[in-house]
Amino acid sequence: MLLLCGCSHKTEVRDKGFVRTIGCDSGEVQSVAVRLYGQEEVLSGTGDTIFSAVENAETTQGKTLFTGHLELLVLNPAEIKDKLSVMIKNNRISPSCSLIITTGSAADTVKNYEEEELSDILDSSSRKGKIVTRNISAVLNDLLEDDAMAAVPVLDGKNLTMGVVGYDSVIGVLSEEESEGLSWLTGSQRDIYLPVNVNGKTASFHVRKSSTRLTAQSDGDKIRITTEIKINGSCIEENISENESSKAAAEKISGLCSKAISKTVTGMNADVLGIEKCIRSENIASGETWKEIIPRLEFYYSIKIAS
Amino acid sequence: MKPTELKNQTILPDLSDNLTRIKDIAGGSSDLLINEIEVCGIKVALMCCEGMLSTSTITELILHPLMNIKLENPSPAALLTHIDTKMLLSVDRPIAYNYEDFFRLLNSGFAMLAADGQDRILAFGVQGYDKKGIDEPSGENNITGSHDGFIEVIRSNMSLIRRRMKSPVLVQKLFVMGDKSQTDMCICYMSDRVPSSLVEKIMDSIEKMDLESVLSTGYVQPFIEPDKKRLFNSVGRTERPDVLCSKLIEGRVAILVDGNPFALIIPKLWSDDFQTVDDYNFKPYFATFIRWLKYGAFLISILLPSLYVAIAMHHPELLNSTLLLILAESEQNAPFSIIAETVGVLLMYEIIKEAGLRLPKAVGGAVSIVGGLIIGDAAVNSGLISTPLLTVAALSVVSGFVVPDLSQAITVLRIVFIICGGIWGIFGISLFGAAVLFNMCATGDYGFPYTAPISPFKAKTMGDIAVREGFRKMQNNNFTVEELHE
Amino acid sequence: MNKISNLQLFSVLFSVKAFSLICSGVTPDASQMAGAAISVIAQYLLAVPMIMLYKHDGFSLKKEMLFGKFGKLLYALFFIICGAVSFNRLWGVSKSVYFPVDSSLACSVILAAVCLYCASMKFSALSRSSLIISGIFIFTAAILILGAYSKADLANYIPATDFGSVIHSAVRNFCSSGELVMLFILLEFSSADRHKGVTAFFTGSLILTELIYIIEITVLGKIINLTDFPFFTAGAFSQPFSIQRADSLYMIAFTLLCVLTVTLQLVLTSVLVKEIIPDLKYNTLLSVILMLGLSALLNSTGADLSPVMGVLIIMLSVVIPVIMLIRRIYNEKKTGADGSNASAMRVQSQN
Repeated sequence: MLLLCGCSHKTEVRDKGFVRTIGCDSGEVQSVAVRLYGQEEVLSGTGDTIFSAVENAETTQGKTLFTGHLELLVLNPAEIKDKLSVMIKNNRISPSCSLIITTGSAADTVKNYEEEELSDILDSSSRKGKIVTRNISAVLNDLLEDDAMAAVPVLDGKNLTMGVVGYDSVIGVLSEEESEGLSWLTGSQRDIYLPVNVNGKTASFHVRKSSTRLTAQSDGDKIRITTEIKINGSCIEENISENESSKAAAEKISGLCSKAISKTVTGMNADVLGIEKCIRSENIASGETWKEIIPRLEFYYSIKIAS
Repeated sequence: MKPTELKNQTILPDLSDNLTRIKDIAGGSSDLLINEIEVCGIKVALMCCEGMLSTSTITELILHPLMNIKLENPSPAALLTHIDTKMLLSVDRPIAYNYEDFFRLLNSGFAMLAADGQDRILAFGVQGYDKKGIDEPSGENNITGSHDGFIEVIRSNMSLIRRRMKSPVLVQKLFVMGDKSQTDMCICYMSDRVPSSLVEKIMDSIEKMDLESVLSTGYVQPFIEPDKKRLFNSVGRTERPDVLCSKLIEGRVAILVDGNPFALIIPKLWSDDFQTVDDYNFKPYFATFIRWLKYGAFLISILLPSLYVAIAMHHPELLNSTLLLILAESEQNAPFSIIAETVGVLLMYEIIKEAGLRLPKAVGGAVSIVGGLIIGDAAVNSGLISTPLLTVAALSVVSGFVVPDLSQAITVLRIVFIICGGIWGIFGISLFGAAVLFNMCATGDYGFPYTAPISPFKAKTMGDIAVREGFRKMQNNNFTVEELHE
Repeated sequence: MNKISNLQLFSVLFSVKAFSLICSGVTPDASQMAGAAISVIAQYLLAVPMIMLYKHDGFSLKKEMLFGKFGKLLYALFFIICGAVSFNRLWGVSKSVYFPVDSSLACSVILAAVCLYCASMKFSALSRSSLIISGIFIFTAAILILGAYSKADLANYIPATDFGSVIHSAVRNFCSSGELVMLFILLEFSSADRHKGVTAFFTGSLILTELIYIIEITVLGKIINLTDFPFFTAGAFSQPFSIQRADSLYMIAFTLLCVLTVTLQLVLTSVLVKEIIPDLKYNTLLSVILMLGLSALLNSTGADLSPVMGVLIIMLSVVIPVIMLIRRIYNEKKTGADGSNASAMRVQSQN
């Protein structure tokens, strides 16, 4: 009998709904939209906390919702840090779940897109080097730093670019070029085509692989931050010389990086690149706060291209 | 009447009294044949057990020479002395002075010659009973090793060992156990390799046996494996003479039982179950690969169904989403809980296996087809059992075949692990695993830990445990089990 | 109890150390790392008198325990507290990490039943199992390191500057390391060359502590302050794949180490209790009930036993062994002097 009834209270795999995406809006109450794997219907629920809201969505569906396979979390820009802390403390949510912040309602965003659409958009933009996907643990870690800011993909209307968020607000949204620059600064790129201008002609520069490294050096009063980007790639067009195309690509990338830096570090005082940690590990400017460090920063780009 | 009581009854000198006593003790058994004849004018009786000896051999080797005896001063004593000392009628010629010895020899296929006025009976080893020929073992199959296995006759088995180990340090001692069965047993060891006192301790254990009959090695095993609460056998078993010889060289002790084609090996180690004759004929890299495959198969056979149940019920995050969705979809219409389903499938398999084993071979095959194909296919099609579950159960069962010597423990542990995994998930599996591990580590008789040489760890032996070294390296190893003694 | 080899002595204590590190709620930082290193070195130095004591001919803790039965009672009491703390750790982990058991109490009772069964085996079963369990743990740690390799950010490690906090961490670490007391008792059962096993244990302990701390610091970054059990969170963060999670597998190592630790504490307690009251029956069952009861009491009252543990550890692993060593040396010298006086007198009388 024990075997037949499945040990009375244990939830069978068929009685579980596997959550793929959660959209959560914070207001007076938390309201969530939950999308499950393999189901078109979007579940909605409200509650005092994000988990009680999910639980309420669960009761409307008749299945126990399982969040261990959560692929994407969409949040509106309120109580971001608190919500992420709660999520991380609940060990059943994968810390590698991706995060998107919407300027509008997160629940509506989840409802308005098809099952895999949001994840696909995120993946494809990341593959193209337009944005950097961030998981909830990395974002929370950034928010817990001194500057309390993190770079996250932000969905502004239909436009997905990188943005800078604080504890409970979007500090600023980056333009497409700035977002691209941030991608070059924060992560490795693989198999992307970069349009470059060589002698007035637009050519495609194929980046097979790239890696980025940040170094800090004390230079008198200034702190010299060098971003070293190593690229393995070449121009596709045959009639353009390798040197010229590489030079153009390097210029283009350093331009994009520079724009990203001036928008985030200079414009928003945000340390979205881990500059402070880099400086601290070199034992420079110990005892100074991030805000005191910012005016002393000087940025250099070293872009090395090998074909 | 107990044979031990017969031991005190000496042979009656008067032949007619003697024969009456023999018939009395035999209780009129039809297979006792008594031929009373006169040799040199002296009354003698030639007795044998029907079917236990060869008629042609007895006629040629015993009857003809007996009838040709000519004595100058015939007397019963002179006749028996003449036969015993001047005629080589057979090579095995014991003498019975009491009825216990008489009946043991008679029923072992000896021809017994009693003379009037003599309190001794001469016995001639002319056994010629029907026996199975030496054949390939039914279990422990191999590709490149020898293809002969033990048979039911102990003396043939002893000769199979001797043919491989011609050194005089191989000792094979025969003794008799079982009041009623009077079964011949043989203890074998290499006198220069066996750990001191191991043989004595084993013999002490055997002497404590007070069984009426010893019909199989299973009757003896509990007496030489005193620890009752253990899950795994600390006594090994083989039906291959080459395997037995390799164990004897390592200083182990073997026990053969007449009427059983298996030999018991003491001590047995857990790692023994993963070594086969083929390993030593294959290239070392391939043998090492196969050995690790077996270790993996052992874990799969015990843990895979329980992990499946635990993951499906409690830890779905361990699977990737694609696999999980396949699992969830297939379980969608299953009427039973996943734990009941898994235990049910495995019990069903055990039933089919038992039916296949006990039935005649022709019908056994049909049972396998009905069980495996028809029931399995019907159960999946009707939605009673999900396909991934059936795959997992089949994989687990097939993996169990890789280490057949552990099948008893695997079968039961697998089901208990499933129940623990179903109730308490991986925590339950780990808890029960810890209990099994402790039980395994506590196993070991005569000071030889079952888990050696893994724990207690002996680096020297890893050449034949973690890998299979080539013979060039192993030849200088001179490993004996004494090194594992704690 | 049977004799144990140096490798088994190492593996038993290493497993206990690994268990306390896994369920440690301490938030590691550079000060903690330095403090732990100092603490391990101090423990190693304090183990020297113990080894010296056992090097004396015919020394037996059973016969020469300071304060006799009262001394043994103190050790038994310490192991009961250690057992209760182990159960408490299990309660804590079962609340913070997903355990498919409805209540933490049920979790502890099931574990206690298994430990009771394991303790009913010979001591050799425990020492042999410890080697296999240590192997499983090292394998798990290797998986953790592999997973953490790509996730670790060395910039998260900020060197310690405050010497005071390093010393504070060292003292705290020392006062929570019950392994030194266990070592003192286990040395009684270990074979010759005890220093080899002891050196191996402290070396392993130092490496393991620093390794786990550095993984936790570099993988978790600032999140380390939010977690109750950094080891499990570090395991969850060090995933080999983006969606699939392997951190439930750390539960296997945790459970095995927990069973081994509690079983060891149970066996040591019951051995000591048996020596104090030889006629007492069911002493193992009694010990486990005491452990569970104390654990429940601690859990309900929220009492912190660290100060008591600290005092007991210093007394049982420092004060008592040192006094015993001094007493032994003094007695030997006295016996030697008496012996030489007696022989001198004999020579005089012969003359």
